Amino acid sequence: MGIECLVLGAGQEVGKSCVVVSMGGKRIMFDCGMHMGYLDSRRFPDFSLISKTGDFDSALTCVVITHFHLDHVGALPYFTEVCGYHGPIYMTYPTKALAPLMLEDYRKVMVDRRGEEEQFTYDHIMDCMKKVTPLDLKQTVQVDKDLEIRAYYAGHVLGAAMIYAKVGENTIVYTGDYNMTPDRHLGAAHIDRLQLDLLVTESTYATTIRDSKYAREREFLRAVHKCVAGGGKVLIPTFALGRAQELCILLDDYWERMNLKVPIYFSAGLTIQANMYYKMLIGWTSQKIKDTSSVRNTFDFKHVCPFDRSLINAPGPCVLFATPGMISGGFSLEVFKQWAPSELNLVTLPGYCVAGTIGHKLMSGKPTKIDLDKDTYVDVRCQIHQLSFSPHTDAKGIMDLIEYLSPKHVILVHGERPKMALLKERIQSELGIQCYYPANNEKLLISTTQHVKIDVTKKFIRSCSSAMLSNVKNSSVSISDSSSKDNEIIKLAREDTTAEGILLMEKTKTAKLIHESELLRTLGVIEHQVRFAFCCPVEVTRTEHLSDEANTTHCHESSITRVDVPRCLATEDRLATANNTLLHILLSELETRTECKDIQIASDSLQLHTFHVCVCSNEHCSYRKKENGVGESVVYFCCSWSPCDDRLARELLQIMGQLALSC
Amino acid sequence: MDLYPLVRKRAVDGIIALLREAAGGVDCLIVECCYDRAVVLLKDEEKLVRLTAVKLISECGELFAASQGETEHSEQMDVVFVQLCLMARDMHMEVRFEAFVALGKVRLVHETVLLQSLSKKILGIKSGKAIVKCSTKGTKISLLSAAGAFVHGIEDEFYEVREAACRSLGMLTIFSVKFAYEATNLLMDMLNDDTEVVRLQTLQTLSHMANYDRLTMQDKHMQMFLGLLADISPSIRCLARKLLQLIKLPDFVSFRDTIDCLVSNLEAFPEEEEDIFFVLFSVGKQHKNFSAKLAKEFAKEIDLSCGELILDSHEVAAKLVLFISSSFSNGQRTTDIPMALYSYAIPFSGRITHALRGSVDQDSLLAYLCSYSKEIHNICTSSMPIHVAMSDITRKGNVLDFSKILTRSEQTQEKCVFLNEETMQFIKLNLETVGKTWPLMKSHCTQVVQNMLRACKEELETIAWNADDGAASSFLDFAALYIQVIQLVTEILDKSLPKKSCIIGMTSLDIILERLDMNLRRLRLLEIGVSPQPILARLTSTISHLEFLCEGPSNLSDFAKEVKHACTEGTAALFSTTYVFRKLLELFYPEQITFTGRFKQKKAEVLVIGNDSENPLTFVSGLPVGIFFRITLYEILNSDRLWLLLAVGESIQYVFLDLSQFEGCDAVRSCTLNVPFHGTPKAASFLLRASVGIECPSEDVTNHSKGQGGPIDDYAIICKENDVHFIGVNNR
Repeated sequence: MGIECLVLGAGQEVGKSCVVVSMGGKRIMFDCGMHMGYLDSRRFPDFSLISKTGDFDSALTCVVITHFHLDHVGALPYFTEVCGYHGPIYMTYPTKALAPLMLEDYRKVMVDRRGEEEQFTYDHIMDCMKKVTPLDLKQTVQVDKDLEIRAYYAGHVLGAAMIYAKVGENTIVYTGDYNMTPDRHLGAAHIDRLQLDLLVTESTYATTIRDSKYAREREFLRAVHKCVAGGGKVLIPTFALGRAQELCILLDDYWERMNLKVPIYFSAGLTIQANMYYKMLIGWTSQKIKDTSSVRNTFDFKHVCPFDRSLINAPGPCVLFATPGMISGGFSLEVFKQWAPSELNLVTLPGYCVAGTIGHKLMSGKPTKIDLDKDTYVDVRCQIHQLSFSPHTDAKGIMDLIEYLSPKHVILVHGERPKMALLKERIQSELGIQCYYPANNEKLLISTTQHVKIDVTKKFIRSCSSAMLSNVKNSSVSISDSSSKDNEIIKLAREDTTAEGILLMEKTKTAKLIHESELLRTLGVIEHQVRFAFCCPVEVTRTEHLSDEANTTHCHESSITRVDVPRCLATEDRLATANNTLLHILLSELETRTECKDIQIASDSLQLHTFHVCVCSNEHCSYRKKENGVGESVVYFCCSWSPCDDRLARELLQIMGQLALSC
Repeated sequence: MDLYPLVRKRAVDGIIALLREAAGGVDCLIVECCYDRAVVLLKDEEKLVRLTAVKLISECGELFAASQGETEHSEQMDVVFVQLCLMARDMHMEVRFEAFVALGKVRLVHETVLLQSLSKKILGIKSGKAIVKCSTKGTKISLLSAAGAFVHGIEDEFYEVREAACRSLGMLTIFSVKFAYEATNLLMDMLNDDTEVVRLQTLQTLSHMANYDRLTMQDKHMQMFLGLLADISPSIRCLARKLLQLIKLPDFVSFRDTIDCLVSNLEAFPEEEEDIFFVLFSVGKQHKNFSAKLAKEFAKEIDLSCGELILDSHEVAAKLVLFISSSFSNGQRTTDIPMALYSYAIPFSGRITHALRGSVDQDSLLAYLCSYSKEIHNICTSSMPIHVAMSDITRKGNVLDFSKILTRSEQTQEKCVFLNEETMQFIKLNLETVGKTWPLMKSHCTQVVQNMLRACKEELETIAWNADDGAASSFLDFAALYIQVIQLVTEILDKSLPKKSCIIGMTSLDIILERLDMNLRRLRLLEIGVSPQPILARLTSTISHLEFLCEGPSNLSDFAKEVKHACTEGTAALFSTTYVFRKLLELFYPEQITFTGRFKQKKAEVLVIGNDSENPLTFVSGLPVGIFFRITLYEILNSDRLWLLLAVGESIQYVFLDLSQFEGCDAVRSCTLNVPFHGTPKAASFLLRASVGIECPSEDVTNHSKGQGGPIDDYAIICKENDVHFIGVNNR
């Protein structure tokens, strides 16, 4: 049994996340993203690797989407509507709400503006979304009889989730993108400590270790405050979802505390719509926002008002959020053209800008002039501030998560190859966990250990605990005696106690662990014992028979019964009495010789541990050594013993052999 | 190892209880054994078990530390610390919280480990030994695992965790200076937290550090920290200022920034003046050299502005407090601080002493200030005998005063061109006369002055009869009051003169002073936009303080000591009293003339609906009776506190007027109120006098009336008294 992991996208790269995991006969596709960097067939994952015939419904059990970013959901409409997958699709509620927005926005940009051939239509998106089953956090969904999935909070963006999947004994977690530190509007990733065979984790910042967010916030706020205090205007180009809300909360809060009156504007469009969703999906935000939501919805910003085009050249300071984030066009470019020439103003840039955009130009050095096209250019005299907010966890966060979950294997995806290699080394050396980072379209087989469930009898459990208890009991008596004893207890407490049992496997039943003593009864078998036997001759010198009789009557308590017994019937009885006497004599002799007081006497035998002695009356006793010159004076004692008392028995026999009894 | 997590949890709880019970009497090995168990349980699947395991580790850690005695640090504790740091990254908030609480209790940890917990980046470790440690059972944990525990802690999603992390940071700073230095960076970031509780805790931690002398402020921190003074929450502002007292500021620039911040703080939140003054005082005391330097700069500014110091500005007030503080503490004057500043500070003596919360009493402060400001006079007049110098200055002052009063009336005229020409002429004339009286007054011709003033007053009254124009009438009111005040001042001056003060009973002087007080208060209300008002008010407070000084020779013995200190030649107590008094008059009077804006009179009209002597209201003795009032207010601001006064005989019932009940704007607002009157007497009929009073926040705190339910401060009546007639039910 093993887990087969096919990486269709985001293997040793960032973009088009798509991982197909097969285990226990089930096949799950995690994420179905597109690559923003390519425009050819490399844009989508190579779905033909899942099924050559194109029969995806039978090849895949289900598809799970972690969050609404295009590199995680972008190829989904294509896959379902064009490729023809009709099986179940799972995503969280916010993802289901926001993904169509993102997809449609993207489709419009691609088709309407760049005039490309469209890969999927608006109807495709809508049809695709109809097939989606929404998930809630920590809700266990039974996809079919064997497969169950569960979503955990991942931070990153609104509605992002880590997915836990389980088929039989095999368990895996696919993290998607996640953030281990909270930001202003989203919490940190949160997952239970699970027993995992495999963890598939993103590794965007495989080697970076980020500073405290406070420093980043402080710099940002200081830059904005300084600019506003100086009467300047601040342009914050952002993407509509995520960062915009975070920065907005940050500024709104700061405005509130510092009692600033400068207006903050939000340019209309997608952002307003997104804000509305954020307001509705407040349960998916950070603790602080949830806590205060009963009093005031954080997304009802106090100081934020919608922007009007006429305000672009209005006098006085202000702060403006405008899309798109990289000043690649649209409203943010329009405003940038107006505001860039004044050195009072400030433009903040997102952490990452695609090459070719104005954002990228501004980031690389400090240009004084930016050409918009052939014959228009903008004088750039404004201040530039680069933001370093990121919703991805850093290297420390990845390590922390792996250490916390302690899976048996780790697969790294969604990162850059050299950095992933470094991280892999760290994981293997520091945490001792097997780690892989397959490239795209590579298949990886992970062997898993099989766990078998067995039944256990009560007696076995009792014996386990009583073993421990008896240990403790023994030592507790001497607990105050000496330190050496103390050490013993500590040793006891430290050592893992082992219990002995017998594993019983029957054809139709589950395996069972039982206690030793229960075995025979369970099997319905009689116990066999191995015993050694030897008929030992002992010299007996008989003296006076009558006195012997008198002696016996004298010394035996049973004398009264003896009197009642008619004499004629007493021949056997007498024999027995005689034997008895012999045993007594033997006993006393043995006791004196061995100085052992533990020998017990039964009606017709002597007993020491497993060693039994009785007078043998059988002339042809098979345990008797054939000896030739055996006189009348020899009495045979038949002895038997278990192997465990072998040494003892031999010693006793030796003594007996030398005895000369007299009666 | 039980199957059920709750059983596991209980078991660990039991061990904790046992260890606590034994309290140090447990063998070290047993503790170690418990610790090993706890370490295993830290990896438990159930958060409850992890939670208690953390507690157990913390408990064991304490016992380890106790057994270590006084040693510098122990490796065992390092391991405990690192274990807890690891747990600080747990996914469950409760576990993280407990881990941080536990981290705060750890002691005897090596500095490198501590420092590592403050940085997410792996710090270069000089000695190789710190890399891997083995616990007793052989489980290896790297000390590097502690990396950044606190960084994570302070940016945790839950404020409980952040708070705990912050507190623990503070506790750990005691052990290492270097750690404290690094921790300050983190803590300063936390000042920007979005939860008030956390900001508060951060400040507390910082003060904790300051108490242990572990706080070193860097320049970059000051900016952050001073930003906190503008925080929206009063408790944070208060705590931030408290902390400021404990901080040693690194250089002059940050010192000046701090003072600037405090000044703007004072401007933004004038209600916190007391606290701010106190902080300024102690900051000044701590940084003598800095404040002396600042004082010099400040004095230069004053010189440049030709001595026109507007005492009313918050900035001046704050800075003066700062300057006097630096030299006040040790009782000897720091020569660096210009003398003149001391004299400027005199009017603030009341406020300052109040702010200092009883550590200094007003008299000694005043005496102290006087003693220094006096030295200026000495310098001016070189070696001349004091009284000669005095008269000299007095004369100078007179000229100044006179000319200024003249300018005043001119300005007044400019402003009030629209007023009746004739009326204005009169007023101008009158004011001129008043101006003329001043030199006479100084030369003790009080009788003549009295006569002149009386004449002025009469004239004004005649004018007032004729004039019914609103603006003019309020101006007339002002002028009349002004003259009355001057008249009273003259009277006091007259009576407090050395020769006569022995003869005249103190009681009459008291009465006059009280009347002066009252009038000044009313005067103040009359003018909005007339800047002399606060100065006059301050004059009042100082004078009323002098009232105490003037209480005759019998009471002077105490004060004489201070005065002796103040006046080198003042062997005669009586003489010195007058001297101080006169000098004070000199100090304040010339300041008062600048005039801006137009007069607005704060006044109120009270009308009792349906009541006159013919139609009295009925009442039952002992039961409250409701009275309908129609109250109209003019020029009352939202910040004013108004009281309705219902007086029967000697007893007065105060009813607070909530301005929100009134309709209209600041200029005119009105309201109909049904006010219950409780103190109906046992009489067949009675007369109730209703009037409206306005609270005047007075600088002189000693005069606060401690009456229950009434206005906190002194009040001034701003309307005509209205009679309400009552008749008992039975007598009807």
